[in-house]
Amino acid sequence: MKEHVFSAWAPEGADWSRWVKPVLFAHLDEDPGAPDTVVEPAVPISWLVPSEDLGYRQGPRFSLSELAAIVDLPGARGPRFALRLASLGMRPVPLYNGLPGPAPYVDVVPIQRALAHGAEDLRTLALKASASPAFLLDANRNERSGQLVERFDNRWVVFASDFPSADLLLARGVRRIILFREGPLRVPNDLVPILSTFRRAGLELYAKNVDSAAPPGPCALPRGVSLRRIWIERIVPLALGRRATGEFGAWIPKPQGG
Amino acid sequence: MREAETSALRAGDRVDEGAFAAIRRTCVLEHCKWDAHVCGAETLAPFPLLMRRSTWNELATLATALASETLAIEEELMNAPHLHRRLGMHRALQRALSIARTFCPSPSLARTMRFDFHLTTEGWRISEVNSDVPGGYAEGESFTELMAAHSPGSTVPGLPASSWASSVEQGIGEPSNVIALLSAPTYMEDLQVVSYLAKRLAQRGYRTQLIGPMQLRWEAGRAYAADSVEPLAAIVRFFQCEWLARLPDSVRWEPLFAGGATPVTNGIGAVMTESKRLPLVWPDLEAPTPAFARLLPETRDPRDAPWLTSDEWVLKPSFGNCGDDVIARPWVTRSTWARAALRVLAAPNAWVAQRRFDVPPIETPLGPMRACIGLFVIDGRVGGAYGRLQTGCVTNERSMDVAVLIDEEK
Repeated sequence: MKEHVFSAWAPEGADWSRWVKPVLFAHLDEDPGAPDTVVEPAVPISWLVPSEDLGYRQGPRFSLSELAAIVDLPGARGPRFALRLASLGMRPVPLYNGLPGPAPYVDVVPIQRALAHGAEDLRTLALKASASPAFLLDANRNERSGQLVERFDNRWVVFASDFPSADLLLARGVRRIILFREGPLRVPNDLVPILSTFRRAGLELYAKNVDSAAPPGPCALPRGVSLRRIWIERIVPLALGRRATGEFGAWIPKPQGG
Repeated sequence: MREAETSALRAGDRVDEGAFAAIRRTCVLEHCKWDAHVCGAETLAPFPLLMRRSTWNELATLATALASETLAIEEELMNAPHLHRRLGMHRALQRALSIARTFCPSPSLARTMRFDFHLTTEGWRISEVNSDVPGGYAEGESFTELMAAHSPGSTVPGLPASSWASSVEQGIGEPSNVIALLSAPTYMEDLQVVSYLAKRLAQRGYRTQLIGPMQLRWEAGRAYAADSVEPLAAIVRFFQCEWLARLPDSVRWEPLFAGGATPVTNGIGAVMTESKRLPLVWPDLEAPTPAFARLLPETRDPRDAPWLTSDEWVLKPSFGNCGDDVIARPWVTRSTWARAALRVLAAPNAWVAQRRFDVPPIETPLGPMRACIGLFVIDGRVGGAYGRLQTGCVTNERSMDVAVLIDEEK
């Protein structure tokens, strides 16, 4: 089961398969449970076109061949939206990096289920090995809400080392990156230094609310990128406890009450 | 280097691409090898390192002798508190040692060390003993077995995880209560190790639980996990001693080493011999160290070595892991060296200077690379090997893991 699912999302020979984080796949049960019944709303993404169509359409157009996507959506919505992008020819690259664990703070089971049930759909699409990448993140990865006590703290953040370098993206023909999120287009703290590096290297950045019919707009990065980089690269790993390569997950202890 | 020694270690043929892809997938999905791709580079070598049976026997003999010397040093050091400070140990660890000396050390089981061998221009040398929490079990066992199946005429030198699990079994007997595997849960490199070891214990019928130090509770010397009322059968400690020493005061970790009744792997002795400053106290010990003296490069307190003016010295933190912060002037930029030098000058007790050795690269299907062969010694017996390769001079987390096999046809 897990091998079947993993090989669908990280097929041998595909350009971006090596970046797929294996943790959620390694913890897949034989029976992933019933599929999620929520259907991804069919917000038009007609601005995303094959490169040969670029000259024949009006309005802002993004050629698939020079595009990379960062899909930063909560829970199962990420894999579901990624499958829509895959139907247009993009290769989903799951970067989910939180351990499932018992009683987790961030529920990753819906993501695992979506990955398991989406495997067959992805396989039938027979994407090209060189298909443009759509990197998948969980927007809930570092959210703080609800009770933390006695739960497995599997929150995580994403680092530049989780992505291909800007040089590699450029060498593979990527010129533009679109960040897909839901709601207001705020760039999460951990993505700011990464996107900033991409921009400095010459990649154009765009952002897109997946619930809006509007085409992608310019991605505004907040100021203070250097401080954020220090925060993400030096402080957060100490607080959440993560080395250069790893995922996150820790028990949050019960407070010592009186 | 003597010709015989050069040919003692060689890279085998690259495994067929499809077969290696299957090996990698199996390691990632079944054997907890979750860092098979680091910073854009693969960490599993698609070819084995082959050594002669006679070479393996030689290394195994040396490793056994080193382990025996390490245990003798630990025993003597236990009663030599005046030397503990020179080892560069955190005060909290020195305090735990003092408690252990006054009362009694907590019971220890499955004493495991890993000695990292390098084939230098002057023959085999070791860089250090990984005495506290050595890793590399999945790579040394499952990955190596999978690679051996594609390397005709070769055999695996040992099964470190199985040997370790056997030692645990001998130490605690029949499966009964839960065995806790203690690690920093947020550290993937450590989590994958304890997850793999937990699988090995589960195969033998043991119930296991991964925990962090916050979940460890002590009552009358017995350890409990979180809110459980069932005492733990044992604790597998994969949490570096120097990290324990830096935990908040609210976390009780001292019974892991002193005054506890629950068996722990590894025990208090490992805390002392993990220090890279260990050779500095040899002259004050009666325990003989002929194997160390032969194999470990000259080691000095940074205040006694001309590392500022000479390129012949490498600087290491007293308690470092995975090659973190190991530095030598020729390897780094001028500014990096200046920053490191300031750190060493500011806290020389936290560092050690060791004479550099030259490891000639060997030819591999991926180009010239330097090899490091770690030999596990578990309860006095050699349990297998963990091989790593790198193009640079330091073995660290970006090194490639390589299967070490014995070439039975040579």
